[in-house]
Amino acid sequence: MGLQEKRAVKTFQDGSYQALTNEINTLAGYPIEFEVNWDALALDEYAHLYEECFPKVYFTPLINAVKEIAADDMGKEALKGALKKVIIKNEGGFYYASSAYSFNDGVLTIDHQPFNNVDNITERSTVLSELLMKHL
Amino acid sequence: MNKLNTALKTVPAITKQELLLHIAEHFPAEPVKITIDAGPSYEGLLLTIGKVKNEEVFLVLQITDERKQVTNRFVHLSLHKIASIELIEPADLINILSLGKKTKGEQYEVSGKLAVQRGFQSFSETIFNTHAVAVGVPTMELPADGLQLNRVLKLTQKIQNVIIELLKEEDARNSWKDRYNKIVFINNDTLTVKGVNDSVEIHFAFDNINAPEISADALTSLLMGIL
Repeated sequence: MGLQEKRAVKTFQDGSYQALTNEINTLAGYPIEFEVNWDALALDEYAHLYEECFPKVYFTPLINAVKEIAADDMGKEALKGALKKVIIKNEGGFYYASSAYSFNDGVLTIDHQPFNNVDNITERSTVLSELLMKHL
Repeated sequence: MNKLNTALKTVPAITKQELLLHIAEHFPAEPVKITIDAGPSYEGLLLTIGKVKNEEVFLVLQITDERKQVTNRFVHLSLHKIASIELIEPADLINILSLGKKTKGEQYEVSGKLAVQRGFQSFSETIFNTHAVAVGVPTMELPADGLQLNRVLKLTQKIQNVIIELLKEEDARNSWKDRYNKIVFINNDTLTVKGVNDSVEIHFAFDNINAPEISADALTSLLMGIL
């Protein structure tokens, strides 16, 4: 990761990332632990796309899923009992929702390439929501 | 396979004509292999089957080749010459052999408890919105397995449909309103319905994914028995 990427990651961490995770926690009604492998996400020469792509690929689908699940008290309670932590990484080379999500022991893992199929937000939201619902 | 065998035991006996008519009408893409008394076999798709003036039944089969592709060859056969009919990897054998009276059975996916709890809530709301009868939100000791939960969810929908149908009659609505405001689903091998104080108890194999589906007619009859 070069200096340009480091600066872009820092900007994202200090700004959008805070807002996005706050929004998720507010929707859920409790604090969810986030662990992001920034080194794997911050690919060289893509620094100008971090602000656009990270939210679309990793966070907006999660916001949509949590919004749907936590729409009522029953859903909030179930989510709180099941989802403890979210890990975001880019290790498996996955770029489709069907492969990108897994859930084990209260940990949701999002393993998706950061700059592929960026605009497939609806598909990712649906798949993620269905996956979480199966575990709640 | 055990489930299939069990289901096959419930399929009634049918004639060749009934079977072929059902396949021609509902499963025209299902390949069949027909062997006639004289020995030869023909594999293909059923195009037509019908009676001619002298009441003899004939069918037309479009022959398929070794790669299962339809050819431009057709065979016209008299039903009484047919010795056997082989179904080739049928997609829904139970449906075919039962002439559509049974299907291959419910297929279960994985559901979570939240989906079932929401299903229970929806059950109560839907019945209330349809007939203004507060049957209550079903209570049940939910299984942990996702497939079992999915069965509970699907059965809830079926029970809801039965109750909505039943409550179309005013006397049924009044009787339910007078007596019950709670409903309980209880795991049991056999379908039973009990009225216990202000609760309707439906006993059924809710968590047995290999058990048959709930019979709408039987449930209706049992519910009527406690109203």
